[in-house]
Amino acid sequence: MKKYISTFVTGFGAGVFQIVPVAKSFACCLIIPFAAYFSLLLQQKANKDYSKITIKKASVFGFLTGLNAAIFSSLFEILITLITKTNDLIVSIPEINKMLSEFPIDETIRKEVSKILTGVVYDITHYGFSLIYSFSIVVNNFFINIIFGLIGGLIAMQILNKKNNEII
Amino acid sequence: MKSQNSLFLRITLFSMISIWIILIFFEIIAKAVNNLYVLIPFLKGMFSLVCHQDSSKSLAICDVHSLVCIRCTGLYFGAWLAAFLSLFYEKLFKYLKRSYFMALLGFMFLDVFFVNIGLYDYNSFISILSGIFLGFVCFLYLYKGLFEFYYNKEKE
Repeated sequence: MKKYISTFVTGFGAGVFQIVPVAKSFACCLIIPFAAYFSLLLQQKANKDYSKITIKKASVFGFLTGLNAAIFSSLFEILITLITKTNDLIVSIPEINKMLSEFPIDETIRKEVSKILTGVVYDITHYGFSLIYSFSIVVNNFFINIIFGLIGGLIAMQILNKKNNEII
Repeated sequence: MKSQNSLFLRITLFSMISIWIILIFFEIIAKAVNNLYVLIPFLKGMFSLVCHQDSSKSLAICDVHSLVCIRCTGLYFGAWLAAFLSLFYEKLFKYLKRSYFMALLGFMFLDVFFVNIGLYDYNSFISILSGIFLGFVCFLYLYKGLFEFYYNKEKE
């Protein structure tokens, strides 16, 4: 487990960066791939092991970084919503409703979507927690962060192997 | 690596990136096809994890905005372009150098930094260009990793 401590550290950092708006605009979609890169780099530096990184190791580190980032960012998002009783979704609800009324969709679907959204807004503003919202956040975070973590791990493997080859 | 397996890898990567690009511009499709619009809030939520989605910095086609910013669109388009070219040139990555990656990454970060400190205004052209180049190189790294993995596996 100690072997993967770097994924925990960088995953935590990425989770924080995904929540902080200013930081998010700086790194955008590169947050998770960078976290995966730094987890491999940290692991190499900590163990002073500069041997060739295998695709298996890169994938495991990328996966775990994405997983940790997903856990932390979901946790922070749910916690902040619980405390503030508002979030990005609440802010953008009038815009979403306006768009829904403008687009050519069936009236029954429109009503159904509107009903779900109203329920989510009610739960968040009254209790600070919505099961549907939390579920969608968790699913989205796990899906996207793990994919980007894996991609980051594979790219990092190539860069670090090349760098270590040049040094050796 | 058997060329058939290599082609399968290249087609798979190209298809996956193409689907991702389609999702970025899904609002345009949703505008044309009834009922698909209900997916937009979910897609927006999904892409919000990988992009700030500032509408003033997103690509607008026919009054419809892409679900990610111009720089991210450039990144994915660059990757798509590299995936497309790799369909015809199997070892496109052999021209890859770490210095290219570092220079392009530096270029992108400097642009983001200078815009954020107000040295100059946000420029869509610079944004998309920095994204395309970096996306192109990043894809080649990814493809090289997977290519070598399959190549070594077959040798074993």
